[in-house]
Amino acid sequence: MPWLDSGDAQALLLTVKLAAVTTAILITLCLPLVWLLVCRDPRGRGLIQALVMLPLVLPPTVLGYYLLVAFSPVHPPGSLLARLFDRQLAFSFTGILIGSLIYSLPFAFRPLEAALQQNGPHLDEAGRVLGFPGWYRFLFIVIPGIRPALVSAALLCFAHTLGEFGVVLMIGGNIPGETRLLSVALFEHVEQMNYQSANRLALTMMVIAVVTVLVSQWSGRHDRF
Amino acid sequence: MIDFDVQLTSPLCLRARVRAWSGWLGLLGRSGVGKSTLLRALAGLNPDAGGLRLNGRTVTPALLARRVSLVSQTPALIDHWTVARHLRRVACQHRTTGLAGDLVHYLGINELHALHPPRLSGGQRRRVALALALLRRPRLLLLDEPFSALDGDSRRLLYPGLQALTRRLDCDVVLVAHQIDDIARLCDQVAILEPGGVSYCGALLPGLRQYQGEASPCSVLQGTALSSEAGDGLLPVAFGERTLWVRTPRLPTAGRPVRLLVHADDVALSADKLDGVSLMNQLPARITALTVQASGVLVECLCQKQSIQARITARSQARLGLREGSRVVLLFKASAVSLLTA
Repeated sequence: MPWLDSGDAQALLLTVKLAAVTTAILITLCLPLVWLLVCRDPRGRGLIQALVMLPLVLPPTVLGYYLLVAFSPVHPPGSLLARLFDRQLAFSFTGILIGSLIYSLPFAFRPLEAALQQNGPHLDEAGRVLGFPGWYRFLFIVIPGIRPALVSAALLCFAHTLGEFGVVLMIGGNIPGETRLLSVALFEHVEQMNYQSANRLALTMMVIAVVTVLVSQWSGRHDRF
Repeated sequence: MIDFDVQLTSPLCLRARVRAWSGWLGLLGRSGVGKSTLLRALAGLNPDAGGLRLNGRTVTPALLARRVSLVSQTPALIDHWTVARHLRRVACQHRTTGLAGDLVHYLGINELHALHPPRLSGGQRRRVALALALLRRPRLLLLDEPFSALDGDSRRLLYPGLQALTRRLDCDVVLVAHQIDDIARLCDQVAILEPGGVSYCGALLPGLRQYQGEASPCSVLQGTALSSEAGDGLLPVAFGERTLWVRTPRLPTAGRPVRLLVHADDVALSADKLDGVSLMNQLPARITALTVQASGVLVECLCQKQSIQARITARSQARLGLREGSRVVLLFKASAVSLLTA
């Protein structure tokens, strides 16, 4: 008998896919955004930081509810987004991806902001003194210079998305292959008192979490000169 | 030609206009007056700097950053790059690969290739930064106390090669140095930075005098090294028609022009030549000016068409009856003279 049945294996794959895509998009977006905030120090920086931090303090169900309302085709944002993505966002993979992006944003933003604030100006100035252009300094000096924080932000973001529940349940429901993630599947098994499958899923998630933490530590240790 | 104009409002208020001949310009100024701030602005590292002009043309910080190289007191290097990678990338960026080998050899950084900056000592870090700054082939090289982490011998070993390199690269240098000896050794002209702006820009000797003021007046003398065969560490230097003796562990080639530094407090005056004394240097001179200071009387003398300063007490002046035009003999030990030319 396999470790996970086909439905749970599908949920695992979908969860890993969602976490990977969310992480890739968030890191790619956050790096230049945070660098601009650190370098330019614009007037609205405090407001941007507060908005980014909002998902940390807001209950996931509240965030999920507002996203569900926003995705509704009867409201202007929902109809606009539906036209943009050419599909209904509620109860779809794209919908839970957008929810994940918003919900996991602080986990990518904060470590990158702290690292860029601490090391970015020094690295950028070193590159400037050596006569490198701005794009080169950012891509080849600043980003590799904050590699431990980058890895940490990516792992944190990945791990956090894996365990996402409230937002996903609100805007995605439980559609196998489309929105049924590990956490939702686990909840379903517990509801059905199928504790053997629940244990296996919980253990799988635990192993992924432990491996994530170990990789994060290993990466930090190997970045010392 | 070294010609720049910088206006700063942050972090301090400063307007610096400097026009000097090509070569090495020493920048003098008390601590906190803004020397490093001025150099940072000149290197294009202060985005708030206004009224930036280089060689008569208005320039932006970005343009300055391309043409001017800075070696600061704590040189910024990239921690995750090895020294070799720094050299390779900078040489590649500025198309100066052929120059890298010479610089590595001259600055003695061959053995540092595989190291990352956090593993370098202060002196090694500055030598690497100096190599990288020169590798950019800048029009203007700014050195902010680049030798302060090096011991005296290492400094003296660096000087001749560094001057030759900057000549070869056709690069002017602005040098900020804590040691006045370094400025006197390397520069032909100085600028003095005071709070708010530049108070003097011109020839070395008057500049040094104005800067040293009452604190530590000194004289810089020009001469020609003569051959020394005694092997006692004493170098004879032709000083006009006279011979000056200098105590130095390094004997330059005979016939080479040398520059000497004598502090006014190390020079004594006598009405006549003395016999039976160990002093090696006794130079007849004529007093051209006497200035009464809080710490004594500064006596300006003319000897072999060069000016030498001595500082004596008011009591000694009265005892010897010294006045303008008096004939005196300047007395100082060979060890009181520093050989500036390496």
